[in-house]
Amino acid sequence: MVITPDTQIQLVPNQSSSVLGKETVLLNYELGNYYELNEVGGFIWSLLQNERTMSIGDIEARILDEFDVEPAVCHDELMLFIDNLLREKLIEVLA
Amino acid sequence: MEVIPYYYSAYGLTLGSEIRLPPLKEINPCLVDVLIKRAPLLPSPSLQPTKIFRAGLQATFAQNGPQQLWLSWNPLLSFMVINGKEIILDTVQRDEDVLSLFTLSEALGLILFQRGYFLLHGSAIELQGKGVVFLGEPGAGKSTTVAAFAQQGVRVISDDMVCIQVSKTEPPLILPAFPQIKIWETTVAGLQLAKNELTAVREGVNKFSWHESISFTENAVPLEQIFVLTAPNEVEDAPVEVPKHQIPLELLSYFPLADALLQGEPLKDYFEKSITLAQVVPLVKISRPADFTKLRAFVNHLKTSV
Repeated sequence: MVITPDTQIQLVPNQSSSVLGKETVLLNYELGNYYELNEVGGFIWSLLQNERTMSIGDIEARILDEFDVEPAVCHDELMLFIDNLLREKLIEVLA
Repeated sequence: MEVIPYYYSAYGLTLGSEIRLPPLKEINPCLVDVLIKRAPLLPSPSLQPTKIFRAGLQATFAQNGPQQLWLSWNPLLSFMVINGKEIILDTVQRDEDVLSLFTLSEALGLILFQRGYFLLHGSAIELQGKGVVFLGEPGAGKSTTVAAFAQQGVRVISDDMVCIQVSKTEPPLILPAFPQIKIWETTVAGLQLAKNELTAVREGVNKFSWHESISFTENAVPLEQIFVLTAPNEVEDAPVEVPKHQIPLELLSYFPLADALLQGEPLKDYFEKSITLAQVVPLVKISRPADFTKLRAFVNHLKTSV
């Protein structure tokens, strides 16, 4: 699957998450997999929780607003993170 | 209508039982929350091995949804636990101490799980109206620690299985189990407990039950603090507070029942309760006091500092 800035994504339904301290802990309770997200990962997660559906481009813009990070670095790291979330079946791409 | 011969209470529930359940004290007949009876069981789905061992036997487990559970200690006895209301016991065994031992541990735990309580393999005491839980690997010294507190007149809430009521709006409460601590002979000797106050348990050689003369909490107690006991010198001498985000996984490792229960919605529910606890209750790792003198010092220190 090719991920572009226009690709729309959303969280899968079978997950539960919470912020504890600076970390976000989350559980896919159908698969029984447990994860911890760091501050930036938790920020992206909370965006998807609030907005329900977002494009990759919008997420990238919000990260650049919130964190002091080089745009090129931000893009690469975001793509890697999205790829991981997809592989772990924590998010899905809207057709 | 069937006549129930024995009435008891444990974990804030009233029990009506066809079998005697020593060391519980009988109460007056009443409307019961849980019925315990002997009968043949319905056929179960395929029983799977668990990590639960008791009296040297490994338990097997099966479920048909979370409200219909089977727990078997083949060839000794088998349970079916239904809707948080009924324990059916199938056995040819007549020794009431053995039947009681198995009924009042994991079988009753399954009832509590079905009723939505959060369970931990551990022990708990009450200090100045506040509940303190001790967790640890088997042999880490949970019961010994609780016995050392009980010896000082501190009230015991629970030994072996801790039952917590977790809600999003109220502080978590520990429910009082029943008055009993089970300890090894080395603990009896180390604490210099009077042997005439103890009875032997049919669970292992040299294990004793202390129930007649301990002071026991009658009401639910707010959960204040959780300690994980580790082997002496496994962590630094100073207590180590576990970061909040690590608490849910830490608690999960002390789930006292079959892990197969934790899937789908029940797993979600358990995870969310562990998060609620992580937000309000500190979890601290401490080295178990290395000897009985240090244990006494630890007891005296905690009695004044919680």
